[in-house]
Amino acid sequence: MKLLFSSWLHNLVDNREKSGDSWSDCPSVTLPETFDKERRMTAFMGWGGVVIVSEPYDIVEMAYEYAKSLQASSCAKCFPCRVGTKVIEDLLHVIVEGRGSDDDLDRLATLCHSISKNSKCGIGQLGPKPITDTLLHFKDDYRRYLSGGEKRPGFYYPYKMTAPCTSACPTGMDIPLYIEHVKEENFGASLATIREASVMANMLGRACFHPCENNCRRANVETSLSICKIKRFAWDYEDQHAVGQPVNLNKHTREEKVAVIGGGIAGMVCAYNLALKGYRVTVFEKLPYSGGAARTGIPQYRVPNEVMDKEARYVKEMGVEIKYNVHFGKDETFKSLREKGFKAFFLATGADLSKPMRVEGENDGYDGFYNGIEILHQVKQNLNPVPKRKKTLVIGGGNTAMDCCRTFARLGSDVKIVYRRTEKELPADPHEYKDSLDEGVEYMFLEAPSKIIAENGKIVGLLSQKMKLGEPDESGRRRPKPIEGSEHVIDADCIISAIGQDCDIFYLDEDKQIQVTKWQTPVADEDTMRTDAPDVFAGGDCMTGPATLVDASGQGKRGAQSIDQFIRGEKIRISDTQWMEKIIRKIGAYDKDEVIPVPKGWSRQPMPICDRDKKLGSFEEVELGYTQEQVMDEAGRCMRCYIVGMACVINKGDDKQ
Amino acid sequence: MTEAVAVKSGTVRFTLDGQPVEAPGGTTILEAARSRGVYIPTLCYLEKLLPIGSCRICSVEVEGVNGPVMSCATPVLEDMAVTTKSDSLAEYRRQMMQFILVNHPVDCPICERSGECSLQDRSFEFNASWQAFKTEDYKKKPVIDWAALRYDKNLCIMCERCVKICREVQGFNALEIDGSGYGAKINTVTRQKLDCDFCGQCLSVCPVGAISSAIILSARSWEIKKVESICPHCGVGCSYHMDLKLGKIVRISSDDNIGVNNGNLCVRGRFGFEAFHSDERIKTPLALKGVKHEPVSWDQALSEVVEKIKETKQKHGPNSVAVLASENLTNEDAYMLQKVMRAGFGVNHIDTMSNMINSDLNAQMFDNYGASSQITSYDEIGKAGAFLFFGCDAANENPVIANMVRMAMRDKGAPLFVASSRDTSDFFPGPDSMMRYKYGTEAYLAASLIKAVTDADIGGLDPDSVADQVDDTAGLVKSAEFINVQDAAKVTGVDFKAIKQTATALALRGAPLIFIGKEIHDHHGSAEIMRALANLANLTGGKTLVYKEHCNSQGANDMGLSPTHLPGYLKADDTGAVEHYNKKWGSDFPAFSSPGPNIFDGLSDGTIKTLIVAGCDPITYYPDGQYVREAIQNAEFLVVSGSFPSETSVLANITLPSCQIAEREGTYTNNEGRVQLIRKAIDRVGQARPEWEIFADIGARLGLDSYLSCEQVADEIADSVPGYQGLTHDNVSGGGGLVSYPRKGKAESFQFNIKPVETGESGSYPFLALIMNSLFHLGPATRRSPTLNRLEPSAYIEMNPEDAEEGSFNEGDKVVVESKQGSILASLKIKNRARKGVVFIPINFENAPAAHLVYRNDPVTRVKISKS
Repeated sequence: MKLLFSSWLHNLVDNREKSGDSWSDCPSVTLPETFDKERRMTAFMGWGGVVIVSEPYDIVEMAYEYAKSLQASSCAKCFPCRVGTKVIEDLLHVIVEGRGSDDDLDRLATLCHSISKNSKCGIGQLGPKPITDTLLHFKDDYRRYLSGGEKRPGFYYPYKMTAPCTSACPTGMDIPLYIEHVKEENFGASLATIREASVMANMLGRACFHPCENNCRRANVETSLSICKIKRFAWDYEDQHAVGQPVNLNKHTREEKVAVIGGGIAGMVCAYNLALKGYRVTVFEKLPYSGGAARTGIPQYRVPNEVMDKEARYVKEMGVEIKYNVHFGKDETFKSLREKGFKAFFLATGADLSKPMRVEGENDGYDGFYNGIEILHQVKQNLNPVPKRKKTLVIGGGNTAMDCCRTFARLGSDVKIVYRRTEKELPADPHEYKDSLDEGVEYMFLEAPSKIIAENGKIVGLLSQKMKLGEPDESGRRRPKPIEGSEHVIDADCIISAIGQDCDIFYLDEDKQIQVTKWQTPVADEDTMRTDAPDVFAGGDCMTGPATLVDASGQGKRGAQSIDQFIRGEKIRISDTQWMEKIIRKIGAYDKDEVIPVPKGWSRQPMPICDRDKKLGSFEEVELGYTQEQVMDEAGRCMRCYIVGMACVINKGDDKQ
Repeated sequence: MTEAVAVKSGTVRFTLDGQPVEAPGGTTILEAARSRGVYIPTLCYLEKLLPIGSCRICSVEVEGVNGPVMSCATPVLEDMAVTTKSDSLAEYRRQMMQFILVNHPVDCPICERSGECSLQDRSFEFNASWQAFKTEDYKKKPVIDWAALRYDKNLCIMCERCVKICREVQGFNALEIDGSGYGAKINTVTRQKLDCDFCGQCLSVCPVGAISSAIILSARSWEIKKVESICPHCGVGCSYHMDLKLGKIVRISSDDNIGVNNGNLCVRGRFGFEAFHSDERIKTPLALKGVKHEPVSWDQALSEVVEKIKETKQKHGPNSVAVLASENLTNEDAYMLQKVMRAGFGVNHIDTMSNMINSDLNAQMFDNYGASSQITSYDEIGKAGAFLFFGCDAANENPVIANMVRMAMRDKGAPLFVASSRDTSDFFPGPDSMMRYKYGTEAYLAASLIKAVTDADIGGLDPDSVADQVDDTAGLVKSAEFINVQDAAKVTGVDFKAIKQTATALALRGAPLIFIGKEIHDHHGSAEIMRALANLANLTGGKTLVYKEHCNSQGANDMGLSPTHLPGYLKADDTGAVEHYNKKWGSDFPAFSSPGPNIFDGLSDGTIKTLIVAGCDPITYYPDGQYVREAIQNAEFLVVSGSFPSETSVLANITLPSCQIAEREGTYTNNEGRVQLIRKAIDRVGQARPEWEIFADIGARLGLDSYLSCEQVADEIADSVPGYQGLTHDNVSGGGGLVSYPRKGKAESFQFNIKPVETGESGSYPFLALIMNSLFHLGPATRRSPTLNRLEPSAYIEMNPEDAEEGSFNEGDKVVVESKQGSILASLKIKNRARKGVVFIPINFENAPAAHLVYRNDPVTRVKISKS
């Protein structure tokens, strides 16, 4: 990207003396074109340094505002940051008012150094860096203020305090805070912090794919924090101890009714957040139980049914009504619910149709053929007994395929995964893959199904073709190409298709306003979740296509925010702070090359696992959860990498949020 | 990435200032340095808390790391090279002090903490003598009233010690940081006025003057003389300092390094000292002449006492004289009392209120288990695999033990189970299960826990695996066989899941510590319950610890204040035992057979004519107070010794002024059987004397040995009482000394009697009343401490919210509480602690004596409540 100036991370690019055409490129920095698709952003200041996109900007005013933001973000738990950033703020205030001196600049430099070396968390450790950069590179700008001639332009400086892990989390969960609460034996507060971001604490604590852990700075020292399992502990603690649960003081303080279609994670999070704002929410769920894909798709040994029941009970306590066995589109429609007084809808119907493989024989009703989605549901909820199969082939390489192969391993079958690319491209979670290998699942890579072979209506094998990898497709992965003449038969009496999921959105036919994408999902804004119908919003798998629990959770929360704005007649938009979140995500909060001055060698706590024999023989939970000693030790490793990102925005918005 | 090493295991080798050292995995750098005597300065660090890391003073350098490392929060890691002193570290520390001192008011001349202030100490140490930094907006903020405490934000350095100690050790979690940045302050979590236990732990750990006591300190720290003593308010036996200026106690302060309590105190200990200087003392001996109490000399008073006892004994026999002794008497007081009565007068009927409430229990304890099975050291708390509180209000009874338990739970993750008739689970961290049983079904619950532990489907403990702990495991298991745990759950009102959870944990983790509280001790079925719990402990490799209500309840029994036992649990009817003491004492008293009815029944029916009440007030505190008053009024002659006038002392023919603990030395024996020394701190008030001296004087008049000092009495105890060998004042002066009780360890099988105790019909008295101690008051001394009275000024009754709704009662209503024996006025508190149909009434308000509601022969007291 072409920038006027950047000291971001390790790369200094200074184009201030050059004309526009001869600006050198800054490849390590990516920022969006505008702040919020409307207003200009001319500069960005954060933990990595200073970035000036273009004129106009005022570096001294920005430094002052940045110091103010550090002070406002300071948790007050250590002296250098709590007092030090106040001293910096006051010094810069004096300077920006034209009353500063050279001594003040020296003092500022000393302060920045001292604070960054001695602080307890990222605010103090990383906060001063951009201010130091301004002192190093913008002396003239300071001089102009020192001489008393300069006047502040009064630009607008929205900021966001976050952390690399928080930034990576689709719900924006304050991860360092909930980990700190665990470290300080304040488990109830930890769970409350988690629930602020997503009420489905337990589900996430057991099954989230934890993008946060891939953005954890501790990995630069030894290994990342076990963030996900610390969350599980916090929920388990409330469940297993005689401690009270929080209550909703706002229960039904508003009259308006909102309909949430689908009781999976997106729907439940949306419902919970609306209930906290006082709305009367009804969740319409077509199955006899809530939980969506987590309930029907994730096997008992990862997320037990009881877990989902307890989550649902908690959400109900908050004032949410859940109606089971009501199929939206058949039993209720937009029209019927609008007539019943529902003011808004949140569509969260998920992606529960198994994607067809388009392989001969898959629709012939052979005994031994299963759709991955359906068979997982069947096993999880004990709907019909599954006959014992000798040799099972699971077609696919994602998490659904993992769930299927590990389930069938437990049901006593020899299981093989048939995947058309190689191990390198396998989309499944690495630890699911490893666990499946532990459980005896074999992998056949570079194989793709051609035809299902059956005798007398029973499957006896799969005709499979060997593949090789060619050029990358639009997802970036190398496209597999069949090798001529390589077809061969793999013996099997059971074949499960787990190559992907589609959304069942037949109910959208009713409201022609709502547009539909080519992937059979409703068109919706990725930030506000609004569709083209003013009272209809959508989120979760049904809107994005099959994704993750935590993405769905974040969308559910934003859906609640937008519905609230809609009902109150406000402009439906995300706040400036939320725009800052997106900008920080773009510039990237985590630097895997950062050298962190922390002693090495404090290793991650291993997760206790149930006996291997027990593992295969039953659907008992594999992971036993951390003990209190373990979790408090693990929590001690967290470095609390709080950071502040601030933008310089030209033309104040109508409402500064 | 470096090869990571597992923490909390094995031994770590590293270097400290160039020296190769070893430490167990999981130790912090600071702990490792301290254990080697290497000094690293700290400010926010407190050993009994988890590392805080707010002051940034404890920095060290680690090779390979570019910047200071906080030693309090970093574990030692293999091959780490640590340097604790350098120029740059010194410079950093000075800068940190400068940050802390920015805008810190220079109030040292008027600040209470001056002279004991960590800020002063560290500034001096790091030579932070000039200030490079300043901020704008310095405005003096008002001091916040926190009832017994005060919070001054201007002085606060936000070290968070108060927050942490309240959460980790006290379990109340009342405080937190409010706000961000420089303007942040400490505030209550509720944002309402502070309403907590007022233990004052926060006050004791505040390194500066931010938290101070509402009892304004009238002394500078360097004017204070400290006298180490033992708190007289309950059986824990906490050590503390009486801080004196010019002979007056101005404060109680704690010290983490003395005694058993690790610097922790409760509200009674910390704020209950004002009674030591109360004006309401009995200052001279008094004789009742007509209706007035006239001052007389000690000589006159004691001659009359001796004469009257001799006279009564001559006319009516030795069983016509009795002594009711307080459990607050020291060992020397108690020993001397019973020696003079037995050896001097041949009178054996000596008793305490606690023993009288449950004579059956103590007989069981002494005879069947030796005192030992119920006497356990606090060290076991750190070793226990699980905790079970049975019939204990752990946050209010013997509260500092709860602190010890919380620290063990924090450090080891040991699970906690609570069984009580009131929900007393306001523990933090929370218990794994709260078993709120119906009053009367305790024995059933305890027996069903035994069944559940060994049941293959529940606890699954194999009885053979514990054969060395239980005498007859097969017999024990067989005795419990008939119990159906599901039925037990229904009858006791406890969730089956909770019983299962408890039994499973006890079977799996083993070594539980079972605490038994006053609710069980005072229970009509207590012997049954205690035996079952002792069996449960033995079965699971654990121990029991019975809470003693008063500071010397244990010592009182050890010293033979019982009609059936001589000191050291030798039996009073055993000629060999009697011979032992006659030899020691040069006396000739006979073996004593049973003395007959208890003291009050004896007074009522005329058997007892002369009564001596040493240091207690049974009319206010003994169940069925009205009956007690009538019984005492029936006596021909009453002698009362005490510090304060009471309902009992107003009836006395002779009143003798006695000393409070601050005026004399002596020893107490706590829950653990640890003998600890109290020290004289202030002058005797008026003509008050300690009971040992009073009785020694009486003894001298009978020709017994005379004693020149309390220590001399203690020496004699050490010489003659079994178990007390070697426990002289000198030997117990540093950390106390443990009594060696006769040990009888193994449990025995017996017939479990699970029939619930009768709790009476609802009828006209719909509520079952639990009458016990509250937190803020325990006895007359606490009622003479203005601060404690401010915190809990008047009698109250606690009712379940469902009952309140049914009766249309509101919080704060003034109500009449009436039983068939009597009535009191109290104000109503609504709390979901007791079950529906059960109310809780604290016994401690002499102006609304709940003891008067009790009818002595009923297993429970029932009351009705109406608006006044």
